[in-house]
Amino acid sequence: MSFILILLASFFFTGIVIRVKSIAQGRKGPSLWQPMYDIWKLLHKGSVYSNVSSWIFKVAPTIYFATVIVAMLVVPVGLFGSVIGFSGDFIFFAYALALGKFFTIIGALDTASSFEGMGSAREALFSMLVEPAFFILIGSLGLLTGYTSFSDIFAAFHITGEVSYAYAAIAAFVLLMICMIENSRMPVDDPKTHLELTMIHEVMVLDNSGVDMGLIHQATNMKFALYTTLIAGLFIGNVETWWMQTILFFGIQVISAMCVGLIESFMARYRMIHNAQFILVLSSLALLIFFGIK
Amino acid sequence: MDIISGYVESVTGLSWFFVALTTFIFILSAIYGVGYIRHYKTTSREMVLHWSMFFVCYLGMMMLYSTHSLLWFLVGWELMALGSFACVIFEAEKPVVLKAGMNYFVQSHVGVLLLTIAFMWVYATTDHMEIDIIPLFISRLSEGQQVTWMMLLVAGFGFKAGLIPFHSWLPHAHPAAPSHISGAMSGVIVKAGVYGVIRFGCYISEGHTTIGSIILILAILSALYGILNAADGRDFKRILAYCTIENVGIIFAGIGIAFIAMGHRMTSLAYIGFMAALLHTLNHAIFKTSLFFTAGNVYVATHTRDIDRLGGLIRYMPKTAFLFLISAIGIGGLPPFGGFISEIMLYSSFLQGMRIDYLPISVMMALSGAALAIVGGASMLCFTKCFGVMFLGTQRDETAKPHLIADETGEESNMLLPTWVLLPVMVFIVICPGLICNFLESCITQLFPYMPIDATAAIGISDMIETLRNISIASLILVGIIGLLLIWRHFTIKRRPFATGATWGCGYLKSIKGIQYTGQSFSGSLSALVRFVLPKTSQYEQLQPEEIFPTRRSLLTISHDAIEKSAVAPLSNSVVNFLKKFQWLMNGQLQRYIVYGLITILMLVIAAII
Repeated sequence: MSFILILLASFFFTGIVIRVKSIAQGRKGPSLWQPMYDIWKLLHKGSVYSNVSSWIFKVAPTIYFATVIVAMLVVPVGLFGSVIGFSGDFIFFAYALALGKFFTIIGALDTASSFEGMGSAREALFSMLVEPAFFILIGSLGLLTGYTSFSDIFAAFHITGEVSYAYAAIAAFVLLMICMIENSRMPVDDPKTHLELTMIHEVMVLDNSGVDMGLIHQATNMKFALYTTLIAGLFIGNVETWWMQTILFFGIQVISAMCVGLIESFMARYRMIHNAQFILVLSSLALLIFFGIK
Repeated sequence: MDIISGYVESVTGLSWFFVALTTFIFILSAIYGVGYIRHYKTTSREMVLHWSMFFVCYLGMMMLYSTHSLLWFLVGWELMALGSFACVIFEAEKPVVLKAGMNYFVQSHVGVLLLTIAFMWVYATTDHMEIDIIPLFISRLSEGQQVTWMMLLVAGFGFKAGLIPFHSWLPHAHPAAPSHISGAMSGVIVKAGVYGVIRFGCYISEGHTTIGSIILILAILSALYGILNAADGRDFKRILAYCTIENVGIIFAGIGIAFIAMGHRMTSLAYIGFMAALLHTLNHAIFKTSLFFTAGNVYVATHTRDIDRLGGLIRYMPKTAFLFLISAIGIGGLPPFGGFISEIMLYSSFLQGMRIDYLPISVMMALSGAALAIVGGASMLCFTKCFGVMFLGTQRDETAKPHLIADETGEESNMLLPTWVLLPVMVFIVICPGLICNFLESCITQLFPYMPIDATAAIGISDMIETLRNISIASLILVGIIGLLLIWRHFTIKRRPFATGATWGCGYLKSIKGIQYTGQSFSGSLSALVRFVLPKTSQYEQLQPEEIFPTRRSLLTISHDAIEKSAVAPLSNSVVNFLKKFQWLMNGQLQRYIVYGLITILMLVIAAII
């Protein structure tokens, strides 16, 4: 059930982001379902392959998609619980996504394109820097609750009382930023500026087309919804009824998507060289939570 | 002959583990070596020397794992060092190889010296050289002395294991050695240090927290230092060597946690720490050996170790590429392979260690966990670079193209066979981690009889094994979903039109070969970020103002090992300078030497009379 909810959320997440951005720019903007329609169209298109690429390039998008699916399996939505949950599953979550990144990176290197090489180098570097923030953050929440699986952490999170909302606020901020970095969105990267030397993720998929491209787009949408589900998990733990949780879950998804849209509309991208500092600041914020709990 | 009677009396479970691992890897590297060494032009005399030294090294290791006497342990250790030294300098006519070999030889003997001091201390206190006497010896030491004794051992074994700052021989020796020797060295010879620390560390009765903290800090620094250097590297065997330092760091981190846990009476955490260390030893042995073997295939085919000259090898060597990819994923600790299982054990022990009610330790655990996360990310960078630049894209330097004759591409069956054999072992570790952990648990119980598994510890350990079982199920689900999606994709793609074309150059139509990303540019931003641990010097000619049309010029960048450059080299230089003051004693005149002999005899006579 959690799986279906996250999947549903992923369908409209990017749509909301695009809509908010266009409203902020004074345009009407496309329909909420436009991204899904694009993906549907891509899945029915033929592909073009580069003649230097090998089978790695062909399997990479599928493996990326599969790892995001598996990561979705371990994330719970409130009372519904995750499909496969066990202690230490948040590490599995991070590492499964890392496997997907591994394949996206080598898939990009397979095309021998200099742009894609640059994008993949940055992707590798930034995801390396963001890793410790995630570990310290969830590790500290685990310390607070005494559990190490997503379901147990979120369920037990509110037992400590009012102060947990303070932690939840910082944690939500850190998670939102991790989400932006992992999906290569604004302040670290600008997905709109095709062909400028600023992009991380978009440039890695320059040569993908057809079904593969559709899978990559949908994987990105799901990754968005996945991280915001974690944020939702911080807040909906003490709501008793499942329908209330579901409403809150979708509410938080919409709010997060709007936040993403607003950040993208009103913030400029950082200089590439300052990104490393920005990402490391997240680790220190996570450490703050750790000390607070300790 | 009571020394010999102590030999092979009882072999502990831990020894069995190491004996089995060593034998397995040595057999594989012998099989690999037969095919590999054919590509060198060697005389049969050199071959005989090489293989007999290979066997001597193996024999030495068997001796040190199975002996019950400290003296025989040292003898075995020395045989291992000498044998592996002789194997490393197989191409002794190359000055670089000989220098790397001598470096290894000298450093491993500094390690032996430290071990000898530690063992002499035992002898001086108890008049015995049996390992069984150590508990008695330990009981006569104060806490500070115990810590000192253990540190002597950690330093001594650290020289073999490649823990920083005792690692500086490793990045030289591994590239210099033939690939089957690098594989065996990195896979099992380095692990003798791990064995030593656990085997002798089990007798310590006080000061666990101090010892554990020191080991943990050294280990985490090794892991970070190793992987950053590896990620920045250019010579693929050197990258693998640095990656060994990283993994040794991860292994020692497990040992460090275990010691800290023993200091805080957390039996289950201690067990999990040791189990993580030993399981990672197994994983690393398998993946690193396989990486060195496949890297050896590449070297044989292309005659270069510079990744920036390679590219597109997946078309010439598809099997090698596939095996390299599997091993790279495994060693990066990514699911669905065994490396992930040992890393998750470590993460879990860090998470448990964070609950220790002593702030410095708890903070150290949290930071170590974060450092491990960085190490994981950096190793992903390192191996995407390694695999991507070597095997994907197009050839960067035509002169390093693999020979197209089938026999010379390094894709021969006996050079691939050992790696194929390792594949089921990798799968086995993923499917039955519980089985291996139960065995490791019994090894540890045998070593630590005073640390019995009580009810709470049993629950902790069975929880961990339950987690591992879940991980293997999750990994299988991951593989299953990947498989299903690939099948779905295969049938979907079949129905769609497809075309091939050149890589999109964003309007640039000429060949993209020259503007491809290289390994150096891939890790460029990382090395700029951590310049303080990766010092580099560049040599180039400045452009003069009067040069309106500059001629062709070159840029040479040399990266140094920071610790070697700033700590090890000055130390060894000052020792050499000091010894040079006595150079006049040795001037090559026979008469002089006879006089020295006479003086010595005279002094001995006088001493005897007095």
